[in-house]
Amino acid sequence: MMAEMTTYENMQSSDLYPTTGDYCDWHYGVHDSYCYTIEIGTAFHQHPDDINHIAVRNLGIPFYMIEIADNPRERANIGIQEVERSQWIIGAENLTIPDSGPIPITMCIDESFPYTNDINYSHVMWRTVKPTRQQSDYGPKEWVEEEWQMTGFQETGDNCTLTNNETGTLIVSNLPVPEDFSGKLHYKAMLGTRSGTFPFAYPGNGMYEEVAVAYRAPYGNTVLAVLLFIIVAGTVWGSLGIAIKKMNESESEESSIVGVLD
Amino acid sequence: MAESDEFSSRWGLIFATIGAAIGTGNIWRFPRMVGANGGGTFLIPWLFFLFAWSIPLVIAEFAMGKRSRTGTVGTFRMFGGKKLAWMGLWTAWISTAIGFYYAVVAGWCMNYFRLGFSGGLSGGVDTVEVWNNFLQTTELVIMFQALVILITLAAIWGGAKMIEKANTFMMLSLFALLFLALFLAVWMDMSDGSLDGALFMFSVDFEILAQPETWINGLSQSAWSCSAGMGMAITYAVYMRKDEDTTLNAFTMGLANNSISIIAGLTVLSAIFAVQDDPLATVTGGSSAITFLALPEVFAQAPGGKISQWLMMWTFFLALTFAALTSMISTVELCVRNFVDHGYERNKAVAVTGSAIFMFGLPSTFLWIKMDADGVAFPEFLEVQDHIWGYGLMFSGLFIAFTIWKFGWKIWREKVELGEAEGGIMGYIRHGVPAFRDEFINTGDNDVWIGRWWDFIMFIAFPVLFTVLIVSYFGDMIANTPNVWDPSNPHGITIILLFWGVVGSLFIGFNHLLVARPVYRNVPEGAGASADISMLPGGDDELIVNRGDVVEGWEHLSAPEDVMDAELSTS
Repeated sequence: MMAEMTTYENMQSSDLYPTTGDYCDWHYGVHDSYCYTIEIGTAFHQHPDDINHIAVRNLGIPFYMIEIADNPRERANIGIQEVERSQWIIGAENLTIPDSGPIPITMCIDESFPYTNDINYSHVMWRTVKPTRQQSDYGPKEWVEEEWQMTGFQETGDNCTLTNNETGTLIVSNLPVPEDFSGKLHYKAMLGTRSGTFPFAYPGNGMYEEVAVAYRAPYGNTVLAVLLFIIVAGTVWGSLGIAIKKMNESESEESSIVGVLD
Repeated sequence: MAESDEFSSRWGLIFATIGAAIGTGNIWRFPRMVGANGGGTFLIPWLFFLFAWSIPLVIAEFAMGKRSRTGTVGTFRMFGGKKLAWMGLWTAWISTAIGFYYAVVAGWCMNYFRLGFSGGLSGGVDTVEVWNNFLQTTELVIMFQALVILITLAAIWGGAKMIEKANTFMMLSLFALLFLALFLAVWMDMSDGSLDGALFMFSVDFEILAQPETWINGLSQSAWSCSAGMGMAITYAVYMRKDEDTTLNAFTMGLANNSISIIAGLTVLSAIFAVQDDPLATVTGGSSAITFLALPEVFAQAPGGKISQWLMMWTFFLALTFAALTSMISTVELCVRNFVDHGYERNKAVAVTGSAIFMFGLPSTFLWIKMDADGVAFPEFLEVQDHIWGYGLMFSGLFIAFTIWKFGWKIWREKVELGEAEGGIMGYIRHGVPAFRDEFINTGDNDVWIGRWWDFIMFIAFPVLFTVLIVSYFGDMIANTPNVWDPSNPHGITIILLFWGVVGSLFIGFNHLLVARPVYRNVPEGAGASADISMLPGGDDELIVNRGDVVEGWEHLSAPEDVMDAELSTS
């Protein structure tokens, strides 16, 4: 990614030329941290006129690194990788949508996973997908995707079985999907750790679960519906009746006149 | 002439116009729009725009056609002046271009009637498979398209007389079939103890009611379903008796159209709500899906055993076929009328129009039959045709409104010159705005007097609503279509503008050839002042003559032919 941003080749820095006692060595020694070296330009002694655009080209990298930085050490920790793989989010095929109220999306997490309650790091991302209201009369069904929304997790106090058959902790995110919504629901979970590793994505990077959600609200109030029926049907059928009556009246008048003239 | 009495009744005309207005839009599009726009919520804008858009426009169309006594081209030549005859051509073209693929769609309906009647849809068949097989069996699709065109041609070959008979028969059957289907559907929905389909259809959600999209959908559904602005009412007005009450006809037509929509909506929603677990997901889907995939499945589960299931299946699809056929008749007649007006023999015009509709409809039968994400076949070429021409109807409506504004302008300027009216905007409002209504609508033949509200709609509401519709349509397309400006994108905007531009330019370019030919009006005997066109912008056009008149240089066109046209109007 960083190589793409700068068009520099991605390589071990010592492959270009080995150095000792440079900034990376110091950083690793003092902070126990990984380090990147970014080349400047294309020549050992770059022409001064090139400095400005080289600086601009390289500037994106630190911003990008700040953006994605979490805790690379924790992520690289083999233990947490194993733990991560054994956790699961409920799949669309197993999801039960309640007749009313929010839709609970459950996750089973390992007790050793240092999951944070901070909604910015641990949450379910979800969006509703509705059929468009103005769609072709003859084409396939057209859908419109709403914006992704974020809902945090709560502990349920219940246990669950991880994919490695060990016991995990069940957490739940109650998605406030309106009861009068009808369409599809997309959801995925992001988990972050207390030390800032983010995100551990479920069901996987860039993927989401899709489930059909039926209309769950009551269809209406009988009394009001009868009222509207009377108004609409009364207006349409009533006016039609009047129009037909008027028409018949003038029709019979005209017929008799025609009869006389004939 | 004596026998003309029996079919010259007002009902003949009414059934013909109702038949033209009631089409698949009432039976398959309306229930979907109700489902997608909050059930009963949708009925409010839909009903509002019946009175605020569709009926006023149809009143104008009837008034114009009754005076001009010609189809759309002649009417615009008189009402817009010589230079605007091409507007009539546009109106006729849009209707005909829609007819190209509408014949194919009507063929689908007919095939489903056949399938329903022969039991091909019952017994738990996979409706998706039936649909996919049908759409991919080109020869079958073409056969039904041809059958639809042949029935249509047979009905209009004989002019007004046959049109009336065919429409009356099919419309009365449609009412009966739909009521039967409604009865069965309500029975179905009631079997589980609740009428939730009806409840949904008549319940208002005020949140949805406050959304502009609901109103825009209500307007477009009302306009399309009533065929308002399509030129159909202009065409059928040619056959009106000289003392016909055009306003009452417009109201009857619009109200009958909406009545059928309510019945069809109740039928479809009740049936779907009765058996589907997620009825709303079914009704909001693309229309061919709901009609040809969901409904056969639903009807197969009707209570009352095999007989009522079989009855439900074919009555519904036969009603749908009749609705489509009567609309097809008006589409072809609209085109044929223009040929006849210009001195072509009716038989030839019918043959040419029929062949054109068959030929140009063919690509819609087999080209780009694709599969959607759910494995359901759909005809993309047909869909693209609909995408391009469907909204052209809006401009036909605008042209009608434009001639009304122009007529008012002409009358006002003439009065100003005579010193009878003041200049300025107030002068136009006082003398120009009511001019069309005074001259052509409140003619004395009308039992229903039309007040200033009509002027308000035509001069203020119409341009505002037209702009809203066009802006929202294109705005929605730009916002939601990927590569919307790419000319090769069949769902983009460029392809629409390109086709509209080419057709519009061609028509404008050929306008001078069009008006070099005489137009023959179908004026009933003794029409007197009710056929006077001298006050119109095109009133001094010497090539606008009455049927049977001989025009120098065009004598060969005046051979006596198709007297049946005149029969209706000379009672």
